[in-house]
Amino acid sequence: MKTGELSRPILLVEDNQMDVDLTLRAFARRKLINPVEIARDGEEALAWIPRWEAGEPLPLVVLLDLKLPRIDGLEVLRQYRAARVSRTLPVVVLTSSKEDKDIVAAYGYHANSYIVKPVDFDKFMEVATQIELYWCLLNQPPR
Amino acid sequence: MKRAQQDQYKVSLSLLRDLLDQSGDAFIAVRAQDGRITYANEQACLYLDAPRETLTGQPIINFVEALQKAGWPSVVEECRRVKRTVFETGLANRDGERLIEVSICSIESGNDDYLVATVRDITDRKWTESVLVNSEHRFRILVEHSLVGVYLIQHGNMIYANPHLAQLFGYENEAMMNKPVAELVHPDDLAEVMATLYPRESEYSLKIRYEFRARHKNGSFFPVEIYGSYIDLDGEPATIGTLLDITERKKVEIALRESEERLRLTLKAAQQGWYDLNIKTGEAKVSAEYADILGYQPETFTENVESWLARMHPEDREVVMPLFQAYIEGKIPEYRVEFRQQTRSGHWKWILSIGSIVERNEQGEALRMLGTHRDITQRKKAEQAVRKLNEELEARVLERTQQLQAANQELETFTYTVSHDLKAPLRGIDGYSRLLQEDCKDNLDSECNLFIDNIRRGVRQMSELIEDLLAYSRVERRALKLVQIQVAKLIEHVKLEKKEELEALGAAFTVNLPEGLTVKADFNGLMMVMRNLVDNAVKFSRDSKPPILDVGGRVEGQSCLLWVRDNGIGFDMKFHDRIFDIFQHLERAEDYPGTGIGLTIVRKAMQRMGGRIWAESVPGQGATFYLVLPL
Repeated sequence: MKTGELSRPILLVEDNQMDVDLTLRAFARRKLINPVEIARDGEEALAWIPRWEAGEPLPLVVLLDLKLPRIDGLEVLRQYRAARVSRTLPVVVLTSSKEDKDIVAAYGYHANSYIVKPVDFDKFMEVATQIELYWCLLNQPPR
Repeated sequence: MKRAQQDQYKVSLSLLRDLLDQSGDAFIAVRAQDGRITYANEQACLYLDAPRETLTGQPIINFVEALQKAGWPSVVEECRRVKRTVFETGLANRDGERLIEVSICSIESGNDDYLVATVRDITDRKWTESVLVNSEHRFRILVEHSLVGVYLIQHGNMIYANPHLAQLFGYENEAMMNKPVAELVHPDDLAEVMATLYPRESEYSLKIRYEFRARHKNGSFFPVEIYGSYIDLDGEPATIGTLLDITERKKVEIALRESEERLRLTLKAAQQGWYDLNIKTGEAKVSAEYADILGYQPETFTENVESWLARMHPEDREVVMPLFQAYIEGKIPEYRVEFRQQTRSGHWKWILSIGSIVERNEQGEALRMLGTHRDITQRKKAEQAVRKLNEELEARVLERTQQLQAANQELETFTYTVSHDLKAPLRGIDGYSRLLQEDCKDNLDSECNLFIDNIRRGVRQMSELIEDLLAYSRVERRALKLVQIQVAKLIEHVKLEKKEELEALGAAFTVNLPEGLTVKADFNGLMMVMRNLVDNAVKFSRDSKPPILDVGGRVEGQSCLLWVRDNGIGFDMKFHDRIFDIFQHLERAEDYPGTGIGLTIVRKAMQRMGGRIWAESVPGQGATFYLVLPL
């Protein structure tokens, strides 16, 4: 692993305070060293686009919830894909919804993965572990 | 002889000669002794074709060929013997071939014997006679062979009847003679018939024509028609005439009358009137129903194009008039229009008018049109009502559709909320309970740990409930894709999923399916059904030693019957319908945990795939779930 990638953040787009906290705790237990940036709604998530264009490092992966206040996750995904800077950004949809409609739409906007958030905390920990292992360690992100 | 006497004698003789010359008959006197002509009157000269001067004193045989042959002496002898001879013979003179009657007698005058011949031209008489004979013969043939009955009646009796008449009545010719007319007539018609046989003098010139029922010899009756007239026969009135059997004509008349009556009744029943329009004058004859429909008295109602148009609704006039014109001019093949007519009382009635040109002149111009008028007001009202109903129905369907779409939208939103917003807090409860257990484990005694375990169990149940509810709503909303599915493969798939659980229980899972059995179903739908049924079977037979599961199937007609059988606790059939209802548990939740949605999902999925499901069971003896799906 290259040192540059250790400093690249994970962007967590999640409106639920408890989910944010539990996710952070799960990552903390995994001793994840990458910083985790939080966007609490769709607008905050989209506000990252100009910052990335201004030269801030792209996240290794975006963990995107679909149900967000103001601007929903699918719209955020669409705009990420429309922007040159984030067109190839790995986006993992992490949501409670198992609806076919959402799955189809997410992949339609070129989500890289779709993961249903488990209620059971042990399983949730498992998911967090897998995400970190795969996207932060195994996966080779675009530059 | 005195002179005066002599003069008087001369005058008489001259008068006699003149008289003889005036006669149309010829007189010739011939001296028997020498056969010379001593006298011939004017007519004789004409016959013998010679002037009197050359005749007198000449031998007769020079002028009559027949006498030459016989020879004069034998002629004289013959005449003397028979005294008077009359014969007819032919004679050719300038008038052509004549027929003459010759009468010869021998007389004595003074010392000489004379033969005097009187010759009369009987050509005309003979011709008239022959004509009479011939014409009577012809008439007899005509009458005897006539195919109408011919009769002559006097004093109420048949004086003459031709063979056809006799045959019509069934009698021999002779039997008809002098037969009383009363025997040949229907009793009810007799008075009328007899009245015609005894006319008053003033009625003699009348022609008789009437019908009556004739009586056949065998007692049956048949209709006849008489054409007759009166004659005077031997000073007494008689009737002659012809009699026609009109049985066939009557039949046709009756048939025609019946058919007209039927047509009339049909039109009446169908509330139809007819019209017969003279297109040149615009005048129309119409039926009583036609007037009736419009509320007028049929007796006084008259119709023409002008009043017809005046009664028509202005809106309809604009449509009908061009069509009427176009049809009359032959531009359109059919005339069938609907229009409103104002009735006498001022109401509007819808009329269906169908017409047809029945007569055209040599230039092809329409002269006459026949057609019907039908009151279709009721139908129009019904149509309007139907149209209104349809519009209302469409509006209502649209409204309902919108409501349904809104409801569906709400359901989706609800589902989304359930899946997202209800699950998030659960995740929080479970997460923090877990963190509490792990991070504060030194401060928690075993009872506290039990509490936390129970909290987490509650969360798990709640989560399962949400998942099942979502699954159920998904079954309802998801688009189906009906395809041919290999049943054995699908079951194998389910069996693999359950492999560990089945092994842990030591359960037997047998599959008995016909080779290559397929059903038409949605793959995910059928998968969910089978998964739920197998889950169900495992759950309720887990205490059997060992649990035995059997999945089977067979073709039944156009369908496939599948079953999932277990040897578990079974259920009482009185609860059959309840086991498929949502949130229904027959057993205590702590004994057989579950959401109570599984079989509801199964039934819903089967319904959506056009299949059926039911179960058979006896408590304690296992249960069998049956599925029927199209092949």
